[in-house]
Amino acid sequence: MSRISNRQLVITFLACRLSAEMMTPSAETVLYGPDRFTAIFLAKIIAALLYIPLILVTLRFKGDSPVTCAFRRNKVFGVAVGVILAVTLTAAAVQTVISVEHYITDTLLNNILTISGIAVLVAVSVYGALKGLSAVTRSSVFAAAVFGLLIFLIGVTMWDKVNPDFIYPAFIEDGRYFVKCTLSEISMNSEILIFAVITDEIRSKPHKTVLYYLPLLLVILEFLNLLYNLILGPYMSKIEYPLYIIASLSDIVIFRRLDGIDAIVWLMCGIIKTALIIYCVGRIYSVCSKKPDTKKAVVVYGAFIFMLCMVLGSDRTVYEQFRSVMSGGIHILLGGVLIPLTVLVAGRKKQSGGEKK
Amino acid sequence: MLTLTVTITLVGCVSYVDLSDRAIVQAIGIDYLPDKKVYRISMQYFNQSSEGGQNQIDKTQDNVLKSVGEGESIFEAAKNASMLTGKDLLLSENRLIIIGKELRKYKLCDTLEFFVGNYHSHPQAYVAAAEDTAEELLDIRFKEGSTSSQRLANLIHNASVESRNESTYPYQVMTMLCTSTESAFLPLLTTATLKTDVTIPKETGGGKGNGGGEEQSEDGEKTIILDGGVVFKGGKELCRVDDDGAMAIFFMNDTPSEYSFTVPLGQNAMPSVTLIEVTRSIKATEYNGKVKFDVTFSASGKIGTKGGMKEDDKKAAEKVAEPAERELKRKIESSLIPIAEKGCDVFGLENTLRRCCNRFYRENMDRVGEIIAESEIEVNVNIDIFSQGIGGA
Amino acid sequence: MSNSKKLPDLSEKSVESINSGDSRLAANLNINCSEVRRLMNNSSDLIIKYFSSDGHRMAVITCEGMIGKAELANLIFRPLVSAPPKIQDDNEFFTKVCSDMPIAEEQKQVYDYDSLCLYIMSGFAVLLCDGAEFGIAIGIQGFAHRSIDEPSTHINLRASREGFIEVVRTNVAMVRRRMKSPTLKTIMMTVGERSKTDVSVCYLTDKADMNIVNAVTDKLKNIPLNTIAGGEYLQSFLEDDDSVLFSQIYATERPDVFVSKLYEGRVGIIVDGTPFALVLPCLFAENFVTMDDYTHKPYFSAFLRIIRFFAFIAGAVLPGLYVALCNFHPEMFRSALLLNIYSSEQTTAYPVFGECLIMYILYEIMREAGLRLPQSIGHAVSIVGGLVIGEISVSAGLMSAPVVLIIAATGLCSFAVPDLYDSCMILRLVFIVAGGTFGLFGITAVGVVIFFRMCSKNSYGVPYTAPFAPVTLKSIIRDTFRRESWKKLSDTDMTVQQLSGKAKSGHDTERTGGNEQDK
Repeated sequence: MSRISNRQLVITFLACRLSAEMMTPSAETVLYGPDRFTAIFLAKIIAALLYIPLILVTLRFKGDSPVTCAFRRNKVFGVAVGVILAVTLTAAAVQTVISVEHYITDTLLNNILTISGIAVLVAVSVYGALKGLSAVTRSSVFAAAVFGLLIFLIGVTMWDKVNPDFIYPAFIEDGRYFVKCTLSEISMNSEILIFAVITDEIRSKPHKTVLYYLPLLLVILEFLNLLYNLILGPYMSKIEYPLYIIASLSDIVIFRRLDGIDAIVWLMCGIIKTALIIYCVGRIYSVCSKKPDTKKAVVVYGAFIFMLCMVLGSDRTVYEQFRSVMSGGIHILLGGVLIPLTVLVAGRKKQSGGEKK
Repeated sequence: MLTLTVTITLVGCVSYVDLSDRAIVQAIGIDYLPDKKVYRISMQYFNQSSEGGQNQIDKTQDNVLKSVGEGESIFEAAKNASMLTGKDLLLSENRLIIIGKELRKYKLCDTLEFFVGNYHSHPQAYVAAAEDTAEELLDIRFKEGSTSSQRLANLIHNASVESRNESTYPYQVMTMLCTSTESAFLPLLTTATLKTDVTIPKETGGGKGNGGGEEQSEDGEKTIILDGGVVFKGGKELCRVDDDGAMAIFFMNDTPSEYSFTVPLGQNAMPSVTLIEVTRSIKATEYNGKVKFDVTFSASGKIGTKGGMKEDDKKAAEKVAEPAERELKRKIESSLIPIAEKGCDVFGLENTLRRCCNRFYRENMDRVGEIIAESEIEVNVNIDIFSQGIGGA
Repeated sequence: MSNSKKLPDLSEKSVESINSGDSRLAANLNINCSEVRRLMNNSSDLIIKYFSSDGHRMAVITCEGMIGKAELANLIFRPLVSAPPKIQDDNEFFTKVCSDMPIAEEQKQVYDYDSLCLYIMSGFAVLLCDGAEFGIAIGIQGFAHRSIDEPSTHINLRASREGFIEVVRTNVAMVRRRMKSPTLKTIMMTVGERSKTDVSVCYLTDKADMNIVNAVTDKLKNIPLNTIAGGEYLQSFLEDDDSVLFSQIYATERPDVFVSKLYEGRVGIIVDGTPFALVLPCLFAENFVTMDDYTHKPYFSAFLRIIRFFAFIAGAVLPGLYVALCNFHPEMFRSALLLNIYSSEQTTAYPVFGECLIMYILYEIMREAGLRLPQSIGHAVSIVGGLVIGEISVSAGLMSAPVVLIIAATGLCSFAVPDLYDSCMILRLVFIVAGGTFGLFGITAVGVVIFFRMCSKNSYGVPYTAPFAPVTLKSIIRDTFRRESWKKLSDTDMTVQQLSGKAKSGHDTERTGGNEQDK
C-alpha cells in the first residue's frame, strides 16, 4: 500500500475544496458584502472543531482510520461504519460530478449531452482511482500549479480594475444570509469524509494535515472573496461563477480571455475529487472484505455513480432539491463527526498493527 | 488506445459549429418599435472576403455586412437576425452594443441580460446609447481598422483614456444597476455631418461595395461622434448629460489618468491645463438624518498652452491654479448636483454611504434615492500646477 | 524480428540437448577439435589451426574475422615456437604455458565445450593441446568495429564529442576513464539464451541503492529472450510497468551523461551491440536536461530548459488546442487572429479537425520518408514537403495556412526534446481527437488521464514525476527548471533516492550480485 505525505494530501484537499467552492455554491450564498468574509472565518473555526473527533481517532489508534478501527473492533460494526461512510461519500461524489457537468455545460460546451459529460467525467475518475492514491494526490500538484498560474495572470491583468470603494468595514449586515452562508461553507467540507477513510495511508502524523489545510484554505477563500468584491462589487450577487467572470475579463497577450483556463482548473480539480472519493469507497471495500484487489469494486462503483448521476443530473429541478439537502451538511455530520465519535467510544485502547514506517 | 477508442466512439455526442458557419458579430444595435411592439436587432457581422485571394482580409471590400431581425423578445429578434445570415451568431467579437432611444424607456438590465447571460459574449464590449435609432448608426460604415465597428469602439475607448467619458462594459453597467436606485450611465453616440473618410454603401445591408459603388453625401459626410451621455434611474432613461456631465461621472467613478481643459481667465486669455495623478476622496457624514457628501479631488497639473496669457512663466502658474480649480469644480458640480437631486446615483454615492455610515445605510436601505436627493454635496478641488509648459522652469 | 521461444524444430530445450551429455574437454586434441566443429555445426567461419610446439601437438581455434591476426601471430604463434625447456608431459607443458607465458591480459582456462564455444564466438582464440583436458581462451579480439565518434543523438555544443560504440568493453573503458574511482563497479553478465549478449551493469557502490542494483541484476538474469540485438530489447523487462507513453529508462549515447547519472545514484547498463546505454531510474524531468545545460551560464540554461518544457507541451497540445478553440471556443482567440483564421477557413475543403489530422499524417509520412531514404535522395523530401505540401496545398485551398503553420511549428517543437519525440507524436494525435470531439473539456480530460498515468508510475521506487509531484523544493530549485551555479551545486550532493516519495523496492537483502565473469 503506497503512503502519501500529509503535504500531498493538503494540496489535494485544497484542490477538492476549491473546486466545490467554484462549481457548487448557489447564487444565494455568494453575495456582495462583508457577511461572507465573516461566514468563511466562522465556518473554518467550526470545521476545525468538526475535525477533532477524527484527529482523536488517529492519535488514539496510531493513525488508523475509523473504518479500520471499527472493523478490528467488530466486523459487523466495521461493515456498518463502512457502509455509512460509503453512502455519504457517494452523495458527495454525485454532487461533485453533477456540478462539474453543469459547470461544463454552462461555460465550455453548451450543447454537450448530459450522458457524454457524465460518462467522460466518471470514466476518467474511475481510471484515476484504479491508478491509486499516489497518482491522484500527485496529479493535484499540477492542478494547483495551473490554479496558481491563473491567479497570477488574473492579478497581473485585473489590478487596474480593482475598486477599493467596494470594501467597507463591517462584519455582519444580514443575519439570515450570514447563517445561510456559514452553513453552506460548512456543508462543502466533504474532505472530512475522505480524511476519515485514508488516514492510515498517510505516512506520518495525519493530524498535521488538518493543521496545515484549514488555515491555508481560510486564506485562499478570503482572498478569493476579496477579489470578487473588489472587482465585481455588487454585480457578484447576480452571477453564478464569479471567478469565471473575472477570468473572462482578463486579457493577456496570447489569449483574449482566461475563462478557458479557469474552466480547465476546476474541471481537473473536480475529476481529482471524484477519483479520490471512488478510491476511498474502494478502500472501504478492501478493509471490509479483506481483499486487497479493489479493481472490480472500483469499476462497479463507478458504474453505480454514473447511473445515480444520470438519474439526478438529467433534471435541474431534481438536482437543486438534492443540493439543498446536501447544503444542510448532514453528510458531514454523519460521516465526519458521528462515525469517529462512535469509533472513539466503542473502540478499545489497543495498539493497532498499523505502525508507521 | 482506450482513450482514442472512447473519444472516437463519442464523436457526435457534442455538436459543434464549424468556424466558417459562424457569423462573427461586430456590433449590435437594439431598438424597440412601439407601434409593432417588437424588438428590432440590427447587427454588423464580419464579411469574409473571397476576393483579394489567399485568405487575406481585403481592405477594398466593405468589411461588414448587416443583418436585421425582429421579435417579441431580444432573444427571438437575435435568432431571426441570425437566420437571415444563415449562420450561427458568435458574440465573442462583438465590440459594441447600442441601445436605441425607445428601448431606453424600458429596464436596461432586461436588455443587457441577453449579453451578460451568455458566457461567450465579449465581456469588454462597449455599451452605448444612440440618439435616435441604433440601426441608423450601424448603417454608417468605416473603412479603417479590421472592421467598421472598431472605429466606434475606439471612439469610446479614446474618450475613456482622456477621462471624458466612461467606458461602459456590460458588467460595469450591471454593477451600476445593482444599486438601490438602479442608476446607470451610457455614453451617447450621435450622427454628425463632418468631413471624414466615410462612405455610404449604395444599399442598406452592405454587400460588396466596389470603388465605384460608394456614395458621397452632397452636404458633407455623415459620421458618428460621442456627445455626452444618458443617465438612467430605475433602469430607465432619466435625462441626457453633456460632455461636462460625462466627465463628472467619469471623475466620480473611475481614476482619471489624464484630463485637459481650458481655463477661462478673461481678457482673451484661455490657457489649457492638463491634470495628471488625479485622486478622489468621497466621504459621507450623517447628521440628524441628513447626509452630506464631501467630494475632494486632488491633482497635479501642468499648463499645456498659455492661450494668450501675457504673464511670464513664473507667475502664470500662480494665476492659473485657482481659476483652474474653480473651473473644474464648476464643471463637476453643474452635473453632479442636478443629477443627484433627482435621486439618481451614477456617482457611487450609495457605496460611500454604505462605507462611511453603514448603520444609517442599513436602517434606510429602502430610501437611498431619497437620501441622495436630499443630501448636500460639496465639491473641493485642489490642483498643484508644477509645470508651466514650454519654456517653464 | 520475432524472438519466439518455441521453434518448430529447435526449442531451447533441444539447444541444451545439443550441448548436453559429457561436456567436459577430452585429453585428445582430435576429439576436442571434432567436438567443437560438431557443436558449431561445421560453420564455415570456424578456423582450426594445428601446429606443434616443442613436440606437443596444439591447435588454435578462432572465428574468422573476430580476432586480431597480428596479435595471433605475435602473441601466440611466435612465443610458442620458442617454447620453454622441454617438458615431456603434455598436461604439464600446457599448464606451464598457461602460467608462465601470459599471452594476453585476458586469459582463462576452459574446461567444458559450452564455455569454449562461447569464448570462440566472443572473439577469443582458444588454444588446445593434445593430452591436456583444458583449453586456454586468450582475449585477442580484433573484430572490426566503428571508431569512437560524435554521437548521432544528444548533440551538444560545448560538451564532449565522444559517444558510445557497439563494443561493450570499449564503452566500459570510456566510463572508467571518466570516473577514476574505485567505487565504480561493473558487473558483466550475459543475457539471451542464444545471443549470449554481454551486458555490463555499472554503479557507484557508495551512491547507488543496492536494492535497485539487485533488482536490475535479477531482472537481467530472468529475461526470457533468446536474442538481444540491442539495448532496447531489455527496456520492457527492466521497466516496472510497460508504459505506452513514457519510458522509465533513459537511453544515452554519451559517456559523460552516463557518468553524471551514475553519480546521482543511478544504475547504468551497457549492452554489447548497441551504442545506447541504459540508465535507471529515470524521471520525466530528465528528458529536458542536456549536457550543455551544465556548460552554459545558469540563467541561459534555465531559459533553455523552460523553452524545452514549453516546446514539449506545445508539440503535444498545440494542434489539439487549435482545433478545440476553432470549433468550440473561438472567443479565446484575439480578434485579428480570429478574423484571419475565419477568412482562411472559408476556402478550405475540410473542417479544421480534418485538416489537422490530414496534415499531421502527411507530416509524419514525410518525416519517416526522410529518415529512411538515402542521403542523396533525402534532399528531395524537403523540397517535396516544403513546396507541395506547404505551399501548393494552401494555394489550392485544400489546407489553410494557419493549420500548416501549426503542424510545422509543433514538428519543430517536438524536435527540441528528441527523447520524448515518440510520446509527443502519440499525444498530439490523442489531443487532436480529444479537442475535435470535446473541445477544452476533452483536452482537459485527456490531460488528467495522462497525469494520472504519469503520477502512478514509479521508476524503481522513485516517483516518475518527481521532483514536481511529490514536490521536492530543494531539487526543483537546485536543478530542474533552473540550475544553480556550480559553486552552489558543489556544496551539496543529491541522489535520486533523496527525492520525496521514494519507496523501497521489493528486495530486502543486500546482495552484490557477484562478478559472474571477468572476460
